[in-house]
Amino acid sequence: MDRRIDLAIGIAVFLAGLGVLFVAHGIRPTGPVVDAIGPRAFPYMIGIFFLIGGSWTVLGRLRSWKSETGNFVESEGEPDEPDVPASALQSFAVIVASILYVLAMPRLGYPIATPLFVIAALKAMRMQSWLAIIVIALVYTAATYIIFAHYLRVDLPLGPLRDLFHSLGLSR
Amino acid sequence: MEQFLSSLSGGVVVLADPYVWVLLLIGTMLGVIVGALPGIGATVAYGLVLPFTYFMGPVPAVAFLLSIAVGNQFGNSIPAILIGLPGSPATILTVADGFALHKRGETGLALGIAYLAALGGQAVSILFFVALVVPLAGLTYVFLAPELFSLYVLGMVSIISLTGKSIPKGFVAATFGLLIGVVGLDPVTLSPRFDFGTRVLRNGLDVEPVVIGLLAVSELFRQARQSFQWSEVSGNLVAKFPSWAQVKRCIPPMFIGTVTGTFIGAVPGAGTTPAALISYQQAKVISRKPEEFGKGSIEGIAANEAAQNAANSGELIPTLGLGLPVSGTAVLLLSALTMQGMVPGPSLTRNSPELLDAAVAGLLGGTIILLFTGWWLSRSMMRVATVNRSVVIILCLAIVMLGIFALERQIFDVWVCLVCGVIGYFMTRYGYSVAAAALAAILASEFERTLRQGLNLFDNDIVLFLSRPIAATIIFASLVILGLGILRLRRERRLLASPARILEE
Repeated sequence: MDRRIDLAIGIAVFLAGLGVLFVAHGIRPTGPVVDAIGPRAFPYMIGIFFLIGGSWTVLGRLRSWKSETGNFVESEGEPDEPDVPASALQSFAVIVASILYVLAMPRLGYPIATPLFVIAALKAMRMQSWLAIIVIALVYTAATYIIFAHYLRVDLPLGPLRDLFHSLGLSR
Repeated sequence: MEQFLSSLSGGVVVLADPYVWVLLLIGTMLGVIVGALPGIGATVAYGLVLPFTYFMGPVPAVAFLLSIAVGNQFGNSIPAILIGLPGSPATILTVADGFALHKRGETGLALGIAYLAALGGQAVSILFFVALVVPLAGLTYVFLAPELFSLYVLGMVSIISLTGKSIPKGFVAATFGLLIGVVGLDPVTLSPRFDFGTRVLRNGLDVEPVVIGLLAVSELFRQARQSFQWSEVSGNLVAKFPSWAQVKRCIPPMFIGTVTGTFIGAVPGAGTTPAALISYQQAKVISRKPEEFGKGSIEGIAANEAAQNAANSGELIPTLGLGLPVSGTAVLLLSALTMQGMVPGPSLTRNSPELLDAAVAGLLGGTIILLFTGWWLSRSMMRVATVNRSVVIILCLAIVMLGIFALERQIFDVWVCLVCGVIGYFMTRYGYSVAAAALAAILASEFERTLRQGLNLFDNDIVLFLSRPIAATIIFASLVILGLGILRLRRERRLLASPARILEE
């Protein structure tokens, strides 16, 4: 793992602790029920745990900084498959595609947003065949629409296709 | 004895419903298929189907989820034998023996022993499960707020010591889960917390999007880092079933694996991997041919596979007996129950005794289905391992997001799931246990409520609160488990770094 990111996460945890303590300070008890430790105690405890955990990670990382050679150190997390190149960018591309999908779903509707997401995500995963990608995207969208909208009676967003689907009897 | 028989017969009664059998058939086959896809484990499978369980009752849902676990453990052994890729860390020693047999052209022998050991381990461990969980659930009548609070501490400490490779990072992860759990109205005074004046956060975050995001979506994002295909199956598949003499030789290691797997699976802070490793070592000690271990020993496969399947039942003992899950899949199982309106904790089985029947039905029905389909599936699954990996990952991701939307028809839940998935991705990569965070998010509200209400009952005296005998014992046990967890991590690191070393030892 990259020790710089590990360090940055440690700092982020520490800062999150400060943020939690700040917000916790503003919590005010409401209502007639009163108890000894009140509604702020747990958030305070969470903030303090974050401060301790973040400091532990940062100090531990800094302590071994000079003795380590290079920025990539033994992983404490789940390792990648050995002997296969790994790309954080590829993973981030899938994450971005997922975010855009959730943004697009209410606007474009499920039947349009879903194939676009599947196509974008499979291209991000470096799948080559356009024909296979498009067929997979369309078959998946049709199959899941039928299962969820018809059998499980879930109202999926239809976007601009709402009237068309309604007139064709494809939506409830 | 009466309760023992009643739970077993309750499970059989649940199996009288054809609808349950359909679910079990789907669950077991899905479990085998997902298990046969290296790296796509039971956690992702649970994440995929969890939203669907919302549309079932609690009994079919529990039975369905457990049948997935039954199929999954057996499915894990298939790529281990045919491709030499462990489906999970626990199958690392199945690779050593199973793949060696496959390369020698004795694939049928390896698959057959794995199949029989999975069946035997699963079937026998159901009896152990019922025998242990029934008295445990009976104890819950003496549990008041201090004992409940101590149990939640035990649960969190256990999962911190079980998952991840760093205990301090595990604590940070659990704290993150607690933070998610305290968003919304506080459980005693109903004061709003961390809602930033927004209506959508006022009632807190739903547990399901959080848990699925942390456990399943994060794993899919992590898998998306690499593009490769699961290897083609090498060598010729000679699917000849083992002879009776070979099966007879494997009965003692299967028994060792079953007993070890059930008990170690039930111990908070242990899990499937140590259960499999310890069973393997024990089987080697009693074997007449210890020199074969690691080079194609059927006894090694038998012990390992029986232990993994038995650990399924073992994990359920604290999950259903005390409401304390000890693995990622157990957390998702508990999440499915909270989705059905049940409150996690020791009163879970007391309030809903039908859950025990459902668990027995799921394990027993899954085993029966595996009995009739497992051998055929194991030979068919070599094609599954050649499915395009990228397509599997992306379609799993799409189904999970759709499933989360289907739960409450809210895009906001999908956002929560996605954000938790991204955070979980970094947590997984950098050693922060997502299972600990997920469990803490589920237990946070009850954890806080039992402490605060308990303190009110005991005149705000924390010493009085924690010095009740059962509470003090559980807190002490938590500290012991924490210590054992640290030792286990050190040992597991050594063993997993060099499987050959276990064989030598």
